[in-house]
Amino acid sequence: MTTSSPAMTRLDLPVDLHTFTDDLVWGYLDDARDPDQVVEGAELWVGSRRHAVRARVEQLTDEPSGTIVTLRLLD
Amino acid sequence: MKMPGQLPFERADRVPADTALAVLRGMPHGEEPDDDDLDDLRGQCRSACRRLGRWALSVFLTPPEQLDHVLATRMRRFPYYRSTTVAALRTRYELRPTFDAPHWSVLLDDIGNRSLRAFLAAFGSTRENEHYRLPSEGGRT
Repeated sequence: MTTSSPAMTRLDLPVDLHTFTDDLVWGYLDDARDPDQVVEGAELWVGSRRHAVRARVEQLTDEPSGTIVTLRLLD
Repeated sequence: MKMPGQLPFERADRVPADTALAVLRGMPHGEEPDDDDLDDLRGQCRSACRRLGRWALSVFLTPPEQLDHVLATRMRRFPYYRSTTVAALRTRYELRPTFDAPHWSVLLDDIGNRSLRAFLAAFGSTRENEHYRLPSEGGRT
């Protein structure tokens, strides 16, 4: 192991990669780097700034707490 | 029907966690978490709070004999992980079954750096996930 900090990755939408609902992960639209990029069918880097994976946007749903983006992981 | 005290997305049909179960938490890298990692954890807590109404962080629970299976399936996207047991974690935290199994939420009282470091310290040292598969494209900037 090295002692330097791991590199940051490109991140389009913060998503907890543990949390699935019906095999889809989710995040909040207002957390997106560029919310205009988050449309159904778009492929994004999701996860955290130190570890992101590819995912495809399946749906955007308005809930009382905000707009939920549900995504299918691709990798 | 939602029971009193039950969180949104809580799965009341799941049995209370056996204290012998293993608790797994995916880690983004093998180094000691720094302030940027804690900021990412804090973001996850905030998202959980918006949806569940409580500060929470995600873990997976599994019988020890199925640990390898979980690492190869739900956790295959994490290059590293930490593990402990339900018995050890319950001495400090409340656990609730939420979202798709084997997901559980660990409830936190606050999301300051000290609390987040204490959460991570409740697990053992970081281990490499031998089932991790590299993403098909590089995401490094």
